[in-house]
Amino acid sequence: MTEPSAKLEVILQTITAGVVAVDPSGRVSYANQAALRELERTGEEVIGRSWNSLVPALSGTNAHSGSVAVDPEHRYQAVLQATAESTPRSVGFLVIRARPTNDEVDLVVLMRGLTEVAVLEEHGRRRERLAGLGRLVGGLAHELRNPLAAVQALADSLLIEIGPGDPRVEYATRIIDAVGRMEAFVRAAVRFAQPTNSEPVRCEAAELLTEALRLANLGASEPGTQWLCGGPLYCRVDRRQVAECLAALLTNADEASGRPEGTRIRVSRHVDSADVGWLRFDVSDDGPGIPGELHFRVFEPFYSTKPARTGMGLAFAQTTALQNGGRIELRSAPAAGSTFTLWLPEEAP
Amino acid sequence: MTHQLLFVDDDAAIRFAVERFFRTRGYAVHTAADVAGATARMGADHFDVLIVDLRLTGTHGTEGLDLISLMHSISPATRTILLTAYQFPGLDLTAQEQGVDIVLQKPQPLARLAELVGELLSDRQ
Repeated sequence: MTEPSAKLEVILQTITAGVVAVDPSGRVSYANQAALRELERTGEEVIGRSWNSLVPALSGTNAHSGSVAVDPEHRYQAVLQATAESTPRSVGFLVIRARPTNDEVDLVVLMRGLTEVAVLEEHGRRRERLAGLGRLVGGLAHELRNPLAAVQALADSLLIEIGPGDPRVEYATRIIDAVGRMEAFVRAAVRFAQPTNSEPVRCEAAELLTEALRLANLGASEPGTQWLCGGPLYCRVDRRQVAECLAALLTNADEASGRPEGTRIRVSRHVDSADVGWLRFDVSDDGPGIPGELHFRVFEPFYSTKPARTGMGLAFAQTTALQNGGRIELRSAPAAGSTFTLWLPEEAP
Repeated sequence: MTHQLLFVDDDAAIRFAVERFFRTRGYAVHTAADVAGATARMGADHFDVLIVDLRLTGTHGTEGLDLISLMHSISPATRTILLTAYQFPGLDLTAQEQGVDIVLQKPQPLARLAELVGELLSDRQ
């Protein structure tokens, strides 16, 4: 890459914030010392590698520019963990589109390790945004449901009046089906944007998983579960909400795999740098994987690659996780399957 | 005996459809679009069932609940269904406290509404 001037290089290597440059193909073209420290990797391990393979996309960065619109500035946070042995840490990212861009610098990413206070502040901001969104969606739902109810009632009446055997029955039936689909979207949007209040209670990991499997209703073929922890693990969350959140991940994995034995679950425990314990549910599938440019889109409401799905499952799961003090992260690559990880703060046994 | 049904909703299209639907099923159906119309009806006739939309004036009111309370004071035996386009937290509990028999999310198939009305009437007998 074009080397920064000596003066600029001294400045970049001195500042405590991590600075990373990502080229238009999504590969890292530069990383300063602070960035390498945050990533727990050497320059050789980072330069030339895909940015999305280094950092799990929470709601994230789309380094593959061009295919998907990227905000000029995008702020998010993720938990970084270089290897299974190292300690997971929260890191804040600010992704800025370079101006002008060139062959080597398309995005500039600033990184900073987050203290617990900063994590809470970010959660607070997100909750405020969600509250605003909730009011908007609530108003929309009300205004849409009244005319929907009218259409449904009129089609129902028509069906009764024309009677069976009339060729117009199909028109009325199709209208009623369409109303049903619209109502399903409204319901899903309300569920995403207006989560009910959480009632945290002490929950045990195995119980949460059992409840989630029941809700996901995957049939006789329960996915294999690996427990990487001795003894029961506890957290204080809303039991129903978190079970629904895990169920959404299980349903997603089941549909991605397309075969019952494709989904795998792993439950483990981690302690972060602030000595906070975390429960970790990894839900993996052996599906086609998700290209890096879609890593943040899969958590968007109404985004789905499957026909006749509302595209709200993962969006709902992420909101619910955040509401319960946790988060969901994605690791995936094309042809390598996907792993969605639900992190929940642990409560002492 | 023909059952008397009062349906209150500010949406003319729903009133039209519900009226025709229940009429073909043998009910005597009366409709009202607002609180004043509904109150006048309640004072004049006896009703077996009241179906009312929660929000009638397009404001953020809960006029439907007020009408159900009024109906219970006039005619305790009348069964009630509250329709709502938007479920807000605590609505079920509030409705239960006010003696509402059923809270129903809009939209609903009319066949389902008819089924519930039938059940309410058979419970009463």
